[in-house]
Amino acid sequence: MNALAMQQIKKQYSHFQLSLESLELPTGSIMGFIGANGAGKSTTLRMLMGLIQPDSGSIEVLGKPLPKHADQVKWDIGYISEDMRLYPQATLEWHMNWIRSIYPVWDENYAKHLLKSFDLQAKQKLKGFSHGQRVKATILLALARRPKLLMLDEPTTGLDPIARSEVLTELMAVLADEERSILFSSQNTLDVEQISDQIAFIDRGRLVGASNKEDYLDRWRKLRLEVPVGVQLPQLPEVVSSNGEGRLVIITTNQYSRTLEAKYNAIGANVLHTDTMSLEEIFVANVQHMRRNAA
Amino acid sequence: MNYFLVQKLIYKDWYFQRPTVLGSVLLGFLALLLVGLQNSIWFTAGSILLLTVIIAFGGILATSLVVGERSTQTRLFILSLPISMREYTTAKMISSLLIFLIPWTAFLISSYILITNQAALPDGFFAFVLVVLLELLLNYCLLLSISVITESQGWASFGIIVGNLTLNAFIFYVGSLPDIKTAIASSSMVWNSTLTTILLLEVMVILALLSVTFYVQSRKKDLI
Amino acid sequence: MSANNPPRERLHALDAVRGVALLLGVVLHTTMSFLPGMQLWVTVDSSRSDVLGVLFFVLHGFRMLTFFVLAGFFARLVFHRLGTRGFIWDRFKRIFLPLVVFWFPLLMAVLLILGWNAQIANGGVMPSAPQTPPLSPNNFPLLHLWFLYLLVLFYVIVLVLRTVLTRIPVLARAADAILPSMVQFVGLPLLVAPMIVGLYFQPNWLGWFGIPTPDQNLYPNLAALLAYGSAFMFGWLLHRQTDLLHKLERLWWVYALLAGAGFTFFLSTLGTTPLLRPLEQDKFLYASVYGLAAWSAVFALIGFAMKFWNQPNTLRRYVADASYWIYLMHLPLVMVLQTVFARLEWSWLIKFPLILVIAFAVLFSSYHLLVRHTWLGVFLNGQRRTSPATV
Repeated sequence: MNALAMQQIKKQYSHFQLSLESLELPTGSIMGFIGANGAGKSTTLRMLMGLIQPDSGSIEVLGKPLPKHADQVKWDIGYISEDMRLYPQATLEWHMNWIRSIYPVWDENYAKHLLKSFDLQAKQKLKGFSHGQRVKATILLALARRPKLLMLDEPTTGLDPIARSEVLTELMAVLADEERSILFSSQNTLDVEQISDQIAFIDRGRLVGASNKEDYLDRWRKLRLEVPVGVQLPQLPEVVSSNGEGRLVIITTNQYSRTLEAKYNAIGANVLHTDTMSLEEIFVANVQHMRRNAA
Repeated sequence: MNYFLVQKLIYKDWYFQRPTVLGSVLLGFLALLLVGLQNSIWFTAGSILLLTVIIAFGGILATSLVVGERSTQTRLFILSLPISMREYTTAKMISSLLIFLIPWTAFLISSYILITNQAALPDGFFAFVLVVLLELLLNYCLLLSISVITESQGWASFGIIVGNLTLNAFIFYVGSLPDIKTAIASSSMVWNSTLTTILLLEVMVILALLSVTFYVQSRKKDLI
Repeated sequence: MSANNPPRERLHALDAVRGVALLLGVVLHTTMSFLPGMQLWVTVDSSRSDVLGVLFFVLHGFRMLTFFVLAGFFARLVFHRLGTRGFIWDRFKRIFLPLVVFWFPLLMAVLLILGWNAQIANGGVMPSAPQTPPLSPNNFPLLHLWFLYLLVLFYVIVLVLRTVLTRIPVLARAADAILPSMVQFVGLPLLVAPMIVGLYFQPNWLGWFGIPTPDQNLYPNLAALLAYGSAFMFGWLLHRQTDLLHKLERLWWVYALLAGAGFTFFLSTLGTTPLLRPLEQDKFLYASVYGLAAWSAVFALIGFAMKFWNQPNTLRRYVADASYWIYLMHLPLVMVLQTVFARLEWSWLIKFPLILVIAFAVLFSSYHLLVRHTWLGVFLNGQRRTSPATV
């Protein structure tokens, strides 16, 4: 069962085209959605909320097709976005009461717990909140109604390290319930690496890879080769890029296995080192690779 | 249509506009006080102040309830709730209209009381007041349509200024019609055909504006 | 707070407003032969219009006040860019010299046109010259160049005040604290107060004409001195915190409404025909309404420009550059055109726009051909444009 699935999505803007072949999030998992500014993260999330309609393609969220059932499905989605604002002239308490009056499922004890762990003052007006406090308040309002699916558009952007860890801790706690799923977009690969089990990369409106995190970390490696004079490196399909000329060459691969090292050793190149890559390095290498292929 | 949610959204708009409503009602009553002073200069000053208060109140309402919700990005928060565009538009139109009608009705009733109780002002003058107040309501509905459809601060402010300029021309033109002149001057309320035609036209334009807004909104695909 | 730091970006909107304020002067003077009522101008047209009466009233209500706010603003900008000596030299070249150089030829041209009109009125025969008192500080027709004279006075005053007042740092802080409230309604009465006082105590104040134009002698009248002086000071202080300009961006329509209400009050109680009678009753009410309406109009115009005209724009920039020359030169040309058209039996609806089109066509071409790329342009606008319409 998938919490959300989108197929063959196309949306044309005057200076931008979004084209997503397939994106799925299994129920109970947490997916980090990584991309640069303007890559199409927010548009994708807004489509999954039914706020934007694709020109073509199908979207299904919590088992129901969108945008037809958007208002129904939204009862079970907690959506927050970095550029979402609450009413500056009202207190956080007013917002909590108002949301509680709408959602019968509102969990007051959980809300109180979040208030405390986020270190927020309910009686304070929103206009006095810092950016971090405002984001935490928005997250509180989304979490306390215990949605089945959380969609967070850059929840950690602009947060200081303490606020970030508070937010990430509460997101992890949400997943203790196996029925709940989270999709969150970020430019910060560290956050994604820390808490997500699924990863999707997006660049210039196209998905450049989506799978589970361990898979990524296993498959991507950097090999440092010493190439003796006269030895020509072959073009291997599993190699994404090779840098450096002359004796020292660095190879990046997205299909690492022991046999790759063996292949290089067999032609006389010397594998000095095999390094694992951080998610950030993988993301950058992946994007560059896809852009080269597209060009 | 989920009326429960529509009602919640209307309550929310009302909650945030209470100070503006109070302020405009107070200023409006101050203006009516000047009108009642039985001095022609203060009568003019009071009338202009009352018109300005109603126009400015309408402008503030439309820009903060409709355009402001987009520019301050609180709309994204509202749209993350389980509502559809139709419910959102319905709630916005109802709340903006109802809130505007609070001071509007207060001014209508108090000018009726003022005119019928003051010997210096012929009772027939009330008919003219009704025509002008309905024109102000029409202007507000136009502004509301522009704001809801374009969601642009610039267009909304243009709407306010243009509406205000046409109001001057409207008052000048209607006030110069012979039938209206006789109606204004008569000591009891007269409802001649010119007057009823103008009133009916105003009501019809208001209804047309509201329907067009709903129609255009229902054709929008993207909420953001 | 950005207080005391000159802004880094060029405020394109303010260039545009200054240009518009000057160009509207051409429009204002063009309406003057079409005004209903008594003759106020070198000539009077065969077709008069209440609409142009309203236009004259409104333009006259805010145009020069706006100009002096901007003049104060730009004065501080130049002062901080060039220093005291540079400032004096720059103002000497661009304000004082044009006053001295252009005043006499413009006066001669206007006198000639006056004579021409007298001749027409006298059935083609030149009447004997009327007795005119000799030129003295008490009788000194500055024409429309009075604003340059007033500017020179204000520059002197501000330089003197500055040397004294900057020794008391608390004053600057107080000014910075009060100014924000002035553009957001609360402190507005404080800003308008000097103008209200000036108008109220102005002997024989003609309410309909607002601030009496100080163009007859070298002793500016009280109302003009207080109103334009406070505008200049406000502009100077506004340059200390330019972020306030962005507040006006959102409020411009509210100010436009207030200005509209105030002007409507005047026109509906005093009429659309220029009224040359001193106000006797309710003088304080009229002075307050006029002051508030005029300042509201200033803020409305600046706010409007900040919202819609603050992007660099080649055309607006060109118009702004040309406006100074055009304003200096327009008066005789407009008067000649008014005289030529005055007796034609056409409607003002045709004549008024036609005069404007001809005048602007001639004035803009003269700017483009004679000024923009020559030493005259350097003289008036500070720098030579190397190619047409560079930003």
